[in-house]
Amino acid sequence: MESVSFSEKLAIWNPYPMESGICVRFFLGDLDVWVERYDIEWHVHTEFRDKPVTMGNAEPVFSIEPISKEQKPATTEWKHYLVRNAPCLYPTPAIPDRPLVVKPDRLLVILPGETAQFFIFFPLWLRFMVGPIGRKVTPRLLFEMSIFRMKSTWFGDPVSGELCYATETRLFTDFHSLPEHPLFAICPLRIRNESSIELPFDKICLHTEVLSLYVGESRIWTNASEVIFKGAEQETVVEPSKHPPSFEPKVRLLASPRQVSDIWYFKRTFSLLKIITGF
Amino acid sequence: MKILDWLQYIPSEVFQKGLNVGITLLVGVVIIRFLLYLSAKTFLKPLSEHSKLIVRNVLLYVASTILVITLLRQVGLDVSTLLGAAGIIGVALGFASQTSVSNMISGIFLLSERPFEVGDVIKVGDKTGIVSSIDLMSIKIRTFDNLFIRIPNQMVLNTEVTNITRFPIRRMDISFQIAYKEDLQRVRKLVMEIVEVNPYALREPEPLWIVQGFGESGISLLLGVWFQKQDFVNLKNSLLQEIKERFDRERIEIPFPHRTLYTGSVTEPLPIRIVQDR
Repeated sequence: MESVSFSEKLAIWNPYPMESGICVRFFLGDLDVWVERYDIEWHVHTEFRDKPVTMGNAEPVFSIEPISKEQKPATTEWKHYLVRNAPCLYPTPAIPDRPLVVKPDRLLVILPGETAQFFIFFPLWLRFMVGPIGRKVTPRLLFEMSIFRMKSTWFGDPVSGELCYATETRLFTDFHSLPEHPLFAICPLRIRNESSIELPFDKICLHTEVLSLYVGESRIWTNASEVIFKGAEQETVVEPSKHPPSFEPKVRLLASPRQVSDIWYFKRTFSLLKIITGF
Repeated sequence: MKILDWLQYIPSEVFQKGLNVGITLLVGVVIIRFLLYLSAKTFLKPLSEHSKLIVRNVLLYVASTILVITLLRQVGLDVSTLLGAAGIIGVALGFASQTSVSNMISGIFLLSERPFEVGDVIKVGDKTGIVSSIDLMSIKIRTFDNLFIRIPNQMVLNTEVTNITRFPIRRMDISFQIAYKEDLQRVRKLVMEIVEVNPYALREPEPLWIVQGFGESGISLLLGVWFQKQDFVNLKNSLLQEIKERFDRERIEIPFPHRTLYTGSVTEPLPIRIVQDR
């Protein structure tokens, strides 16, 4: 896996034309996807592996293998989709469908007046689309799901909080130390402590659904976000940048945000205050 | 032919009035129904089920009252005299129908207080079900075994009502026992591992773990796991099954009520003497 370049790793997200009667198996993180095409029918079966790959340990697997009919899982849980004129599969990375509660591997305290730059490394989702070869027509979505088993968690108080996914991450502060992986995205996050108190950064709710996905030469990115902490009694402002990340010279858009609403984002960030500060 | 003959005996004035009343009633009912339909398709659309029900009922009662007054006028009854008489009749009826009036007043309180809405799962006394309507006299709930229950509003107001689905997340408390010989720390670690991999259990708020006390047969423990309100059955079934299976695998004893009899000494077996050898 070491010798494989990032562009070769990215091939997992390339279009995959499939002849009728062919069956392939995708290994993606903790997920196995079997896909079979019969004329206008797409048959899909997904399963999480019993032993999940722990993020941050061994490099998660990703590959595509054609398989014989005998190797297909003998289960009644196959889903059949009817789609005309769609002989090509378009596996596409996607942002998770809920916000992420990111817990860094260590507690970092940001002193008053300091600004810290982090890179949040989070797992992507898989979007399975089919369409004609060559993207003459926009591919149609069959389904989407997480590539890794993601644990649900609650952010905020039990009455007005929100449902999120929990994820742990190494707190990367150096851009060059970031892993190159096609199943993970990186969100550049800058935190400015403009208050007169210490800001312990032990957990953050990242509203990834307002972020876009970009691919660079060595990593998958989201647009950068900036958190301005003005004090326990003040509103914390989280502002996602409207521009692509600037850490790589050439990036291209992979996926647009799930939701486009700055107002919504601002409203929700208020609960971030309580979690970050412990108030 | 016979009907037409019979109609000849009706005075033309009465016939005319009857016809007018009939037409007004028909047109009135059509207009009311149209108004309700129109409101449902327009300004009621974005409202919650509960608000829709209130506005719809108010519209229906107001429109029906106007229609009745119009009909009475057409018949030739003086409405003001009738309203005066209604006061006296009202007092008499009030005594006769105290329960109904009480239910109606309770209904108004329920509608304004909003302890629950249509679609909520509530528990009233020993009855649990989904609220299907909140009316002026009673509420209707559908139980999970598909029974229809009508509960008078007065009873709802006087009884403790639990709204099970008011908040988005809940905590499920599971009480169980382990034998005295077990290592509490090890059991806690195992249970937390089970909760962590359960897809219906939330990681935060953190699970609650309380050593409740020393029972007759074992140590009583309480595990509180947070979950999304719709995952109640899935969580309960999966969690209890996983705890049982894991405890069996790890040879952790869940004690059942038992008593140990000693015959004066802990170590010596119960003495048995054969009295007859066949």
